[in-house]
Amino acid sequence: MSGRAMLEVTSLAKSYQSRNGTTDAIADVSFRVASGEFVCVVGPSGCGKTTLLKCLAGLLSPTAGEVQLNGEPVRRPPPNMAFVFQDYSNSMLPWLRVENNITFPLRHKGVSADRRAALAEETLRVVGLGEFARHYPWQLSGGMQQRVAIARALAYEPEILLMDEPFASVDAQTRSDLEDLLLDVWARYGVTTVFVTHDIDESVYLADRVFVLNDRPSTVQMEVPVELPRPRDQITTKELTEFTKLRTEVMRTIKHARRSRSDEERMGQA
Amino acid sequence: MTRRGLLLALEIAVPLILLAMYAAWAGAKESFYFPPLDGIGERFVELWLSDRFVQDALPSLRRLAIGYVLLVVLGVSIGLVLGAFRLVQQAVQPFAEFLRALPAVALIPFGMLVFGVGDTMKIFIIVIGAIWPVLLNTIDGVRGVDPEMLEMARAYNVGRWGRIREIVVPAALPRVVTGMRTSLSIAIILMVVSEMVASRNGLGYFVLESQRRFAISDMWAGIVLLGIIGYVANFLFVRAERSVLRWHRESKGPAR
Ligand SMILES: Nc1ncnc2c1ncn2[C@@H]1O[C@H](COP(=O)(O)OP(=O)(O)O)[C@@H](O)[C@H]1O
Ligand SMILES: [Mg+2]
Repeated sequence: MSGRAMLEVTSLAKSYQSRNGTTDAIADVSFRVASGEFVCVVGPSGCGKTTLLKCLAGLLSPTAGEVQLNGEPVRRPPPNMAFVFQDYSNSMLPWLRVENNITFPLRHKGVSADRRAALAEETLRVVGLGEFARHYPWQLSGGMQQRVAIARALAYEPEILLMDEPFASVDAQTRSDLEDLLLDVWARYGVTTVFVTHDIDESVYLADRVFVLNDRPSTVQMEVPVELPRPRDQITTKELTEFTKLRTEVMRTIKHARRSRSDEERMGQA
Repeated sequence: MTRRGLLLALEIAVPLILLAMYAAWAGAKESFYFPPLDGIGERFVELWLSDRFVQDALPSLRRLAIGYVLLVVLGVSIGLVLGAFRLVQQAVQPFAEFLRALPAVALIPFGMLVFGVGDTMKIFIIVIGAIWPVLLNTIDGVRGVDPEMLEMARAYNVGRWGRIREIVVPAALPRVVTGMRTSLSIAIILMVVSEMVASRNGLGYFVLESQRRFAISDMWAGIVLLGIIGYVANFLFVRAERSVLRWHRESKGPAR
């Protein structure tokens, strides 16, 4: 890991209290992310990825442990952090035009009107939606809406970008387009990125490092450094033997974690 | 002719045909209760294009307007609070249910006792009787706001007040507007009734008074004006709703 740690997660744990008892979502997660790094967190559905990300964002307070951003503990959403949600349709405001969806957070941040307009214009162009500023989000396809969500995050000018399975509900072709768009944007803006996904290929394709979570309550099962050359390419990168090796490694880790977890349970029952 | 054109033609033709039928029927029959159409029309013009309009129609419209604005402001603000704070809502729920179940006109004697027979009493009756659709729809609307939208705003550091103003209010607006429309028709009913029971002027008073004077054409002229007021109010409402809630109508439709 190069550069100083921008984000530092220490022994993070999170349990949900509900009427039918306690759900331990995260047991013990620690990792550090350097400034400018692209990190993926991969794990099976329901393992606590969203929970983890919301703790990082200051949207949820952890049951134990701590999140530090630039050495400061995160207790509420930090002003230099942007979030892209899994469900694009509910994170867009249907009564606002695309450009106003992008400037909505900026108005509350106190950015001047001129600057807001310039940021909206620029980021929409960067995500390839320059012509759609005056459209409403519901006039756009799912993939386009997720581009708007990315533009909104970029316009916020964050130092760190958190993304929760942002491409999980678009079709395969759109998905690889969006992955490449994201890598472009990341290289261009140099924004530190934590990207959560359940898709192993996606995590290896995008990341500098992959953290593999096991089933709930989750811990970091393994850290996989990805030293594939950049810029990456959907065809040539995925053809590399190194790519295949890495994805096999991640897959094996997840499988192995599942097996040992169910062994434990069987032993516990016996 | 297009389908639309045909519908429009029918929309205009059917009332005209009905009016013509009435004119023919009432003209031949010379009934005391159903005066001829031209008689009603004559009285309508004489009455409502003279100072009778100022004397009776304007007070009614003023009461309606004040009462309606008041009940919308109150209903929406109370609804926002009750919708946002579950505990408060549960605490006042039984009381609110009781008030809602109470026919507002039953409060007219009480209103007269407290406020006299002036405008205040009538506005009070309009507010207390017609506030419920706005209030209850606002509560439902606030409840129905997508938690993910609120979370998005929170992630982008939008404060509580900003979230209420810019997410809760617009998201709840379609429901609020539905409530406002129902409230409007109830408000018109209450306006008329309160003027019939205790008043020196107003359209409700005028209709009842004309009947007592056996001025049946006048009575009908008043009724027709009330009908027109209700119709126009609703028409304007639907127009405003269309432009303000365009996003709501279209975002629910099939994706492009
Ligand atoms: N608000 C909540 N209350 C109770 N349990 C929850 C809540 N949110 C998530 N969980 C539970 O926590 C676990 C992890 O959820 P989540 O973080 O959404 O997983 P992932 O994003 O990896 O699919 C799941 O078992 C889920 O049912
Ligand atoms: Mg999730």
